[in-house]
Amino acid sequence: MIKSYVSVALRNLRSHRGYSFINILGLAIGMAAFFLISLFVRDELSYDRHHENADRIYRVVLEGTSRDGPLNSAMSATNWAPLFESTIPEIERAVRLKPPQQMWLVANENRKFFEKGFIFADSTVLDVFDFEIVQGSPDEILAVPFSVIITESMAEKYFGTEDPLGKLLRLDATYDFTVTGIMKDIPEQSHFDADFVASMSTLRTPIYGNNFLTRPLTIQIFTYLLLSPGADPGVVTAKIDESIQSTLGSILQAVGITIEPVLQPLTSIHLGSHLDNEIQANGSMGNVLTLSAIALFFLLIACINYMNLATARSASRAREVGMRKVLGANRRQLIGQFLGESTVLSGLAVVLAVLFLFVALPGFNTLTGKSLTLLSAGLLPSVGVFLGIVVVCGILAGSYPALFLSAFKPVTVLKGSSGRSMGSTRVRQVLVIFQFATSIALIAATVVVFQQLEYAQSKQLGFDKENVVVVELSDPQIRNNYQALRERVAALPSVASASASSSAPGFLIQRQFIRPESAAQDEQTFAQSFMVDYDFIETMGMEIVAGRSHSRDFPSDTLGTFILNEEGVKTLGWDSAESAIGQRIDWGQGLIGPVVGVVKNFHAESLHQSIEPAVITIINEQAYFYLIVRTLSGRTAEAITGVEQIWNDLYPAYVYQYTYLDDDVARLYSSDQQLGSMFGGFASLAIFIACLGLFGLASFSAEQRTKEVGIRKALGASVNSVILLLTREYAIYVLLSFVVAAPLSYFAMQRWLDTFVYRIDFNFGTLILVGLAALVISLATVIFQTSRAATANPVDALHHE
Amino acid sequence: MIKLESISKSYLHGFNRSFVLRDINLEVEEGEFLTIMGPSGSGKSTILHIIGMLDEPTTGSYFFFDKPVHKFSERKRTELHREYIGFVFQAYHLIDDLTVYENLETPLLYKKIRGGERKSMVAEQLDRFNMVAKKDLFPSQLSGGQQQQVGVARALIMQPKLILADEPTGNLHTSQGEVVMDWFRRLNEEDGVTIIQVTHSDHWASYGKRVIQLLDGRIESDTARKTAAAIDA
Repeated sequence: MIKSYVSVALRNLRSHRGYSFINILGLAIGMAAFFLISLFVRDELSYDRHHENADRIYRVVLEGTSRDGPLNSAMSATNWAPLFESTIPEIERAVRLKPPQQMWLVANENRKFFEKGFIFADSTVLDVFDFEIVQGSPDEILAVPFSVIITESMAEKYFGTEDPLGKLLRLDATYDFTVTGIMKDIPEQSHFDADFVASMSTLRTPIYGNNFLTRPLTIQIFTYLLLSPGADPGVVTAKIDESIQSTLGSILQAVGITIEPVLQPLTSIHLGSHLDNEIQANGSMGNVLTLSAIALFFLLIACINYMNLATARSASRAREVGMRKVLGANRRQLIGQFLGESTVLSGLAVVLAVLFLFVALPGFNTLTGKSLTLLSAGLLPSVGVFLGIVVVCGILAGSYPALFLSAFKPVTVLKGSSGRSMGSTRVRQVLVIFQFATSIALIAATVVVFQQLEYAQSKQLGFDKENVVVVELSDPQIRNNYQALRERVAALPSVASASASSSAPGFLIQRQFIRPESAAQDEQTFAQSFMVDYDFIETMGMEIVAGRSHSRDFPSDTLGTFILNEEGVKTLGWDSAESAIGQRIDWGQGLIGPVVGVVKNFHAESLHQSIEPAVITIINEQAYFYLIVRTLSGRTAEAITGVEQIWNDLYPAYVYQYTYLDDDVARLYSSDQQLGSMFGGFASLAIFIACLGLFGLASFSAEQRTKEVGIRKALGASVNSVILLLTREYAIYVLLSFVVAAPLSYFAMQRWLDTFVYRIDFNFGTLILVGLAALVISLATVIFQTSRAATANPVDALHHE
Repeated sequence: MIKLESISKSYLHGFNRSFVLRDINLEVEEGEFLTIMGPSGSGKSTILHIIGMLDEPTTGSYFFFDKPVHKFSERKRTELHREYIGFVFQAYHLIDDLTVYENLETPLLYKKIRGGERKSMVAEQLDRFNMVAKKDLFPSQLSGGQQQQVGVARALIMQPKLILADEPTGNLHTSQGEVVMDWFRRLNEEDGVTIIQVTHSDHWASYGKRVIQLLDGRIESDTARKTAAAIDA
């Protein structure tokens, strides 16, 4: 029986090639999109699950409040891990990780690269996480300071075919580390990079400052705990809390901060944790859910295509159904036949889908920054999924046609009237409307995302991001020679001005506590802090609204003079920019001095974040992490080469690395950009599938209505009026879809826009334009079919009957 | 074998009920060769469809081998008709996408007959109707007469006790029609198969032994007649 179903199905596909093509193509695109998203979702969900003890590993993070609002830190104090491990019995092992704040220069003689995966870790890291050591003895490799484990790919990158064990790697042109072990590369699905794991004991030397590991309340490290089997994380949290309050309670009270430890399960970090100072930008559960929903919608609209086309073609199959019933088929057997057909078709579609997937994956990987492969999930599970989809789609797509077609009464169809329109048009309309509604909603979402990004690009940020080049000053040695660099760069004819800063928009923004000198000791304000050179305000193109900028005419400016932003003035409690001038600020570290100027608020971070108080002060060159160069318009390239020559002259041993400030700002929106591009891609696929279906429907409908058209024309209808008549139906579908989609997109996109503090308003005009676009696209799709039907010779049609 | 008691069939058209059949009472014994005649619209095909369990009467009772068909579910009716009844149509109604062989095989598939047995049954039927050479052709590659031959062969493959033929010769040349009718006569006389045919033509009616005349949904007359063979003699 099955054999007969399959051979009949194949023959049916062959004898109706156009119909089969549309069906298979639509289904294949839908499946390919589904697979693509599934791979992405699976990858996102698999983060950090490769560790054997993943379910027992927790990260200690801090929640709490300061006077300026909530405090959410992914980092914890540097000295906690050993303390907790020795005092809390439920903790089997604790480990600290210290990933780099910026790229480190790593060198094996002349092989030098900037690396972001150079982390420091306690030797317990090998007990907590599954790092597979291939060379070296796990008990000893992180025992002494300045030892480092490197991954196999780093071994090859730095040492080629040589044996790296016992060789030296120089960090930051200063510190020599001995390679004591080699481990397998850690999977990409990890919330931290680790290409180099150096011993934590190294940090007893002042790489990160004196007493980095022992100073109290140095919230600058990541603490992970491996709990004993069966231990209750709630109990552990309580004990940690107790420990923190008993050791730090009084200090915390003095600075007006409350903190509360939270244990994050390791596996929930990637999608669930969005605290300050995360090791890397984590994924978002919201995106994963949205994409999963889109994936399901894709399967659904592809299947709906099939249902639509199959039922549209029902008239021509009615006779067969009737005949089979006369020959003794019961309904179940007919349902089996039609499900068989749809399954065969979906089997063919999956082959094509895998092909599409193969073609689309590289682009998708570039977009998402992942390295997904066709068989990411392994050969057998992948094939299992493919087969599963064949069956699911076969049944889903075939269900309605099967039920519908198998219900035909033999008498009605055998009487000779070829069973014209079979009363299923209502369902078909609903299906088409669903497809178009989905497409319109996706297109609208895409447009809104890009409008918001466009807004972010063009919004006045409080500084001028164009024509600014940012050069990294990654090393103390480079910074020592900063003045010479700046003078020569500023003198270049293509450069308008040059300055330096501890941070810049698009990079990690530092924050610290400040207070008016007159205020009580504990009235601290947490402010973005920029430690800069002269000319910073001018180079960044910020606008002074009161007072003055830092200036070499005031030598005392290096001794603690401050520029605040307007928000800072407000938060520190002064009425106006003018009244803030001359007020004295305690900046911390003994630096106290007057406010000399106020700048307009500027967006150092993305528009997702609100404007915070900011303080700008001149500090010596060791604080300068970035050289900031404003070039003359149109001469940026010239400036870049000019700076490079000076750089190579001054620092022959260091790599010249620069970025454009506008790129740095754009990078703040990379995940939004990614979302937009994905929506865009999937929206075009969705509308394509919907149009395929519409095209199929239009051609069948044109065929079915030839007689009606013939009669109308015989009665004197013009070609145009007939086209209008046949096309109107589809326009109505699209309009109805729009009515369905509009409120949905409105609410969904309002929610997305709400993630931005600074955002566009939802624009109904845009929505209407999207609807019109969908209308135009769909009419363009059907016009060929309708005009062919309308121009046909009426005699042919009528004679035929 | 067949017993129709006060069978009526009507449709609602707006507020009017139009009757296709009115109060039909009919009994047919096993082994009869019955012809139903009458002008267009007199309800011939409807009676045939009701007897063949493809259609249901609006009112009345239908007993098939004393089983109350009018009380059966669709599934049960399907089982019954699958077991006992073969159909032959004026328009042949072969399945276009299937070859001659597969068309013959289809009823066997629905009856879940095993592969080996199925093969031999189809082969036997092909042989009997001299169609072995045409078994892989599609209906569109056959003449009308050949198609109807496949139609008859298909109707007979399950060895039904009752054959319902709706103007089986309507689309055929006389000579092709003769071939088909000869088959029916032989089946009726040699194998005792009950045959009910609908026709317009006295000539084809003459193959049967009993003629029912329908007019406006009523039985106008019910007459036994001499067979063609008897007339010839």
